[in-house]
Amino acid sequence: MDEPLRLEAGSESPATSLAETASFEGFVAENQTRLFGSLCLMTGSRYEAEEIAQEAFVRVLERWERVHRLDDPTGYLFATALNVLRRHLRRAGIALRRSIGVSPSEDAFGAVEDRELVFGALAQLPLEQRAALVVTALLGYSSEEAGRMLGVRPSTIRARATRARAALRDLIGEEL
Amino acid sequence: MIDERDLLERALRHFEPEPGLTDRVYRRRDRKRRNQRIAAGVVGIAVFVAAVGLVTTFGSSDRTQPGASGGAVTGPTQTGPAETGPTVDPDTGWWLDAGTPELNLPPEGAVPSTPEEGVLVAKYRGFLPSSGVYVYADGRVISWLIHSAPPDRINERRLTPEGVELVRSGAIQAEDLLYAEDLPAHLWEDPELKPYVPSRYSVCYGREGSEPADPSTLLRFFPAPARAILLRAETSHAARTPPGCNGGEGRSFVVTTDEARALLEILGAMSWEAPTPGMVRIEDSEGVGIYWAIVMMLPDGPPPCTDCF
Repeated sequence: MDEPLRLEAGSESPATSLAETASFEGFVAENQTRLFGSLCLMTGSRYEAEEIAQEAFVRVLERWERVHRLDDPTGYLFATALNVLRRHLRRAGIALRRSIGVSPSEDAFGAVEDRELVFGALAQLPLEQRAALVVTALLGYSSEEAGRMLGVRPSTIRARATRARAALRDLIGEEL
Repeated sequence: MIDERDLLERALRHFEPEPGLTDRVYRRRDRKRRNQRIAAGVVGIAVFVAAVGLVTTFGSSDRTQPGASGGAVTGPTQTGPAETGPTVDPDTGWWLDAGTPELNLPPEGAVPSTPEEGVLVAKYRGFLPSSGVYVYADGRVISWLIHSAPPDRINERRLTPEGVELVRSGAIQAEDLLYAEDLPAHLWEDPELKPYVPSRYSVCYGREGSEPADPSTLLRFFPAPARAILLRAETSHAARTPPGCNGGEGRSFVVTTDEARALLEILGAMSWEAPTPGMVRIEDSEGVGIYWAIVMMLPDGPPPCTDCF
C-alpha cells in the first residue's frame, strides 16, 4: 500500500489561482507545527522531520486542487507523511544503523532544553512503537486507520501502542 | 496514571519548524519538476542513442564502436557523462558496499581532491531524491543527485572566490548549485563536473544489539591484518575521529583510501551481508556478531548519519 487515501490518477496540477495558493499556504500554516512535531517525536530527528514534512506538503501541493476539496485534507497530509516516513525507513535501514550506535548527530530529543523526561523515555522506544503511539494517542487515528498509514495490520498497531504505553509507564510513570 | 495524549501534546510544543516552510515547499516542488524534466530528457537521449546504435549495428557491422562514455551534453549537469569515480548509491548512500567496492572507491591511482581538508561554507541536503551540495571556502562544490540506479557520481567543481563569497553571504543558496547552468558562468572557476575523489574514509563498527562493549573487545573480532590497520589509524588519526559514527558503543577510525581498500579486501571475504546494504557483519566463534561499515568522508569530515541515505 503506497498511497493511502489515493487520489485519482492524473491529478497533478498545483494550485494555480491566487485563491488556491492562498488556501494552500493557509493549510501549511495551520498544520506545519503539528505535523513537524509529530514527525520529530516519531523519528527523533529534526532533520528527518523537516525533510518528510516538506515532501508530504509537496505531494499535497501537487494535488491541492483535489485535496482541498476532501472532507479531511489534514488526514490526507498525515497519511502522506507517514507513507513517506515508512518508505524512507525501509530504504535507509535507520533502525539497524542506530542499533550499532551510528545514530544521527542532530538529535531532536537532545536539542530540547533539560532533556525532559518524556523525550528521554520516547527516545528509548523502538521507532515502530513511537510511531504507533503518536499516530493513535496524539493524532487520534484508530488502529485501522493507523495500520493503513503505516502498512501493518491493525492488531500490530494495537500491540505496538500497548507496548509503548507500558514502556512509558515503566520509564516515567513514577516521576510524573 | 499517565495520560499519554497529554504527555505527547506537551512534548509536541517543543518542536517548531524553522520559519519559511512554505517557501521551502515551493522550492522543493520546483526542484522536483526540474528533476523530472531532466530525467525525461535523459530517457529521451537514451532512446535516441539506442536507436542510433541499432541503426549502426545493423547498418554497418564493421564500423569502429564509439567510446562507452556518454555523448556530448550541453553544459555541465548532474547527469553528465559516465566516468569511473565514487558514487552515492541509492540504497547504501555513503556506506561502502563490500560486495561492490568499485562503486564507492576511486580507481587505483586516482588523484584525491585537494586540499585534503576544507572549511564548509554552506550545504544543502535533500533525500527525496537524495541530493546534496557542499560548498567549501577553497571554492570546491561537492554535489550529487540520485535519480535512479545506476547511481550518479559524487561530483566536484570549483567556484571563484567571488562565487564563494556570494554563497557565504546567502545571496546564492547551496541548493542553487546542483546545476551549474543556474549560476552565471563567471562565478565558476571550473564548471566542469569531475568525480570527487576522497582521500579519507571513516570505518565505523559496533556490537550487534544494544549491549555496550569496550573497543578492545570489538577489535578482537577483526583478523590481525585488519586490526593492524585500525590500530594504526587510531594512533595516527585519533584527533580526527569523526563524531558522526561515534555514538553509543560504536567506534570509528579515519583511514586513507588505500587502507579502506585493504580493509575491504580483508573483511569483505569474511563478512556476511547485513540486512542493511552497505553494512556487513562478522562474528566470533561463539556466534556473537559486530557490524562494520566504511563511510566516505568529505573535506570537512564524514557526512552525519542523516546523510547516509
